[in-house]
Amino acid sequence: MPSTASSTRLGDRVAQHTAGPCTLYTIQTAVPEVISYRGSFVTQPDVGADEELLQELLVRMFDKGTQQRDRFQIAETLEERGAQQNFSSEGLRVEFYGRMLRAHVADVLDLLAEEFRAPALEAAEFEKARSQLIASLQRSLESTGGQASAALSRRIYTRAHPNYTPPTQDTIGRLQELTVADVQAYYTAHVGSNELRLVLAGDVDEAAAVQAVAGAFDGWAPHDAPAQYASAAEPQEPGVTDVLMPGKQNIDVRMGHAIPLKRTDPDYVALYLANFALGGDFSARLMDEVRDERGLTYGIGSSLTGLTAEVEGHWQVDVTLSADRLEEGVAATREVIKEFVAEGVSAEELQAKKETVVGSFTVGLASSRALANVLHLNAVRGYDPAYLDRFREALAAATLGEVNQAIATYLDLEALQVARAGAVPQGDDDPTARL
Amino acid sequence: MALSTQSLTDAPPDGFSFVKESGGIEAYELEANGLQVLFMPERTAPVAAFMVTYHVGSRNEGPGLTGATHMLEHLMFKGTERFNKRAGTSIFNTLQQVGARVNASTWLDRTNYYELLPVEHLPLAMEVEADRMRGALLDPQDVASERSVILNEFDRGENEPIRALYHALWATAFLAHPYRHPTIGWRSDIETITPDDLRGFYDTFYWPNNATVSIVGDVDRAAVLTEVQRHFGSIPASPDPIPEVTTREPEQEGERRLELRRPGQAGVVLAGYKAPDASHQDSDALDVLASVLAMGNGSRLFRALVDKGLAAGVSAGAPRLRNPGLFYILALLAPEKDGPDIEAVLHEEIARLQDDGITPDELRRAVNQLKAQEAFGRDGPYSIVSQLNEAIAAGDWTLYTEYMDRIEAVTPADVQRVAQTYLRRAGRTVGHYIPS
Repeated sequence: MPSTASSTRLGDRVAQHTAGPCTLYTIQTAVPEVISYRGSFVTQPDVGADEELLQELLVRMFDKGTQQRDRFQIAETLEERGAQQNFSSEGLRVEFYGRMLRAHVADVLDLLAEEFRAPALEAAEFEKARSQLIASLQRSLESTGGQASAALSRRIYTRAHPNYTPPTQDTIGRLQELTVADVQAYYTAHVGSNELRLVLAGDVDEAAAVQAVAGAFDGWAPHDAPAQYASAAEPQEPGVTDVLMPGKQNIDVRMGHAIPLKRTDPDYVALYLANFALGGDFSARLMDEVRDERGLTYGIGSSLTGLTAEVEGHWQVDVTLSADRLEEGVAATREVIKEFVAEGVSAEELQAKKETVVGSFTVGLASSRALANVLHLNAVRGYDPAYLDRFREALAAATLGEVNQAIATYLDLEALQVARAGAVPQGDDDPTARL
Repeated sequence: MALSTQSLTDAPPDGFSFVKESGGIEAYELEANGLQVLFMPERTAPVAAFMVTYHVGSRNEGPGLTGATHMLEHLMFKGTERFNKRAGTSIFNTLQQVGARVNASTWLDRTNYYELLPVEHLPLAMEVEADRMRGALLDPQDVASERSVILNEFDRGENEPIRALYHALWATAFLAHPYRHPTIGWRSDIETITPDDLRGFYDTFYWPNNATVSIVGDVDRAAVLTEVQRHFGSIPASPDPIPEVTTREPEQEGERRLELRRPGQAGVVLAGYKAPDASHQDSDALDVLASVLAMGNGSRLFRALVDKGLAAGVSAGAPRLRNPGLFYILALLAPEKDGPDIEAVLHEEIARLQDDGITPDELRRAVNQLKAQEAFGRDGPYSIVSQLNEAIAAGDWTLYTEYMDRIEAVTPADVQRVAQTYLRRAGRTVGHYIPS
């Protein structure tokens, strides 16, 4: 095995194959015996019609029985091999990921294909999946961070946009109306080999992997469901949404606004660097001032959220504040944003951030699991593996003018929407009502 | 630094004593001050993980000082004369600028500081960590600022019912041993710990002879040890012996119960059973027992609780700790299910296992899962040092390297015996989160 540390260009280390209907990416690392995998296929749920909820139920049922194996035989297959298998509903696609030992690649892939191609989707398992999803949603009602982010999404998007998160109680109510027949119909119409992609990273035998993937998925037909979603945001007038959660003395605050960009837009590179300078790490401006200098928060940062190859997303600032620091913390956060938007970044600051981002690229890929995740995300965005190297080079080449132009073009203090979740003071007691 | 071409027959550089090798990890002692050094070459990527584990955690805190270890961990990032924000050389900025992932954590038995960074910058990580081992500023102004940061961290934790229940369970299960207080501390202590308290804590515990450094990465042993000596070699050993924790938890002689009532919707049952320390051989059988009970959809409690629609999830485990701790079982209730019903099923399943034991198939499946987990845990230098960190904290780093040998020696009879020995009613504490 060649030294995995020998090439610094990631694209040179990745092999791309066509294996049946699957686009397979493989990359070898020095970790003995272990293979991490991540894959997906496109399902095209009708987002405005709440079909993502059917997809959430479906992914909980994949490992609960197929036409060949019951749920305990599936468990036995995995547990005898110590293999991990996870499924998640990710908007317009279903993702699957986990880890396995090299000797078990064919067994695990055969099982995955069987779960996708011939799930049992029995009524009893549907009831359990629904009950577990309701329990998970009920628990999410106790998460100030989750509730604040969801409330912000509702200020920025409409229901037909994949980044919109409905009120939790609405989702629980909608779940009560669904039947196993709805899930079966969704499966029939939306599950197939469309854009089936898989990354195997680690101690991979390339030829055996291609054979195993082709053997498992050959002949899996695509579906013909059309894309049904809104790709642009439709924000409300700037304002504040409070999610009142009695007893939660830590209040999660989210501020943000829509960004009319997809991940594939050329301006993304400069805006990525700009956001990183504002809130990308411990050294960024928000953390440096609001936490380190003023001691107002444990956690603060900013991100470009929900920008994909298909849809536009938003810019989001997250800050957690104890109730007695809410006013001061929000004001300090806005001060930092205001100065950042007004003045942009300095040449010295940009150079430092570039070095951080480019250096962290190597560090962030120091495990087979990280490689599988990054390569899969890159593929979903429609890029070839070498794009990851080109992206790093583009970051290094971005100019001060481009970054500050991106700040001036895309970040707007006056357009900020605000969502707060926790024991938020109300009415006359609310010192931040003027926001 | 180049890839290692050396063998263990090569003598270590002057100033180091070779201690032992196990599972590909070599242990050395820096003779000048007693610093323990663990080294493992790992070639996944051109990166290295560097970690300093101080043998001090919340178990070393007394009344009025709970949370001091954690608060000190925060203050360590405020820097030294050489590395500090006012000089434009903050620790985060210095390290993150070269692409390092930097952080620290505190738990019951240890405090650890780590960097995962491009291998050519490994000396910088050593320089920073060596400098703050004895040179932390601990400025009173920084203490005031960081206190409010930690109070927000405390409030964030209190927002989470499962975390609050977990803290309440340990506080109920332990009467005397300091494992009874949460690592973040009690709020009133966080509010009142003084800069002098923190200075005292630092001057008591932050010495090379109370620390272990771990280096895992694409590096050469001789070069690494030379760098360790260059940066840490001049730091003196502690002038006084490091204090030991002498408190022993008295034997529990009856079941303890607690309730946590808060606004919410989904209940939780959490049971803790007194368990032995990390080095005790029964800890291995307890790991297998936890796997049989709750690892995977074929496990006993998954079948009895989740598959029957009573619970939304279940887990079990026994954190490996320096002193006797808890074996825990956690069940997340399904909607409209009652905690007492779930608890009854849990006790029934344990009784069945105590009476009938486990099958060879169950043992094989549990061991296979643990073997795979162990292999997965070697995926990259950070993953390795993270696990090594917990073994160091428990008092014996070879608990990590010899883990699978120990697990493979466990028999079905061992699992039944430890279930009978430790999962007793008299040694259990049961907590219910009851949403209201």
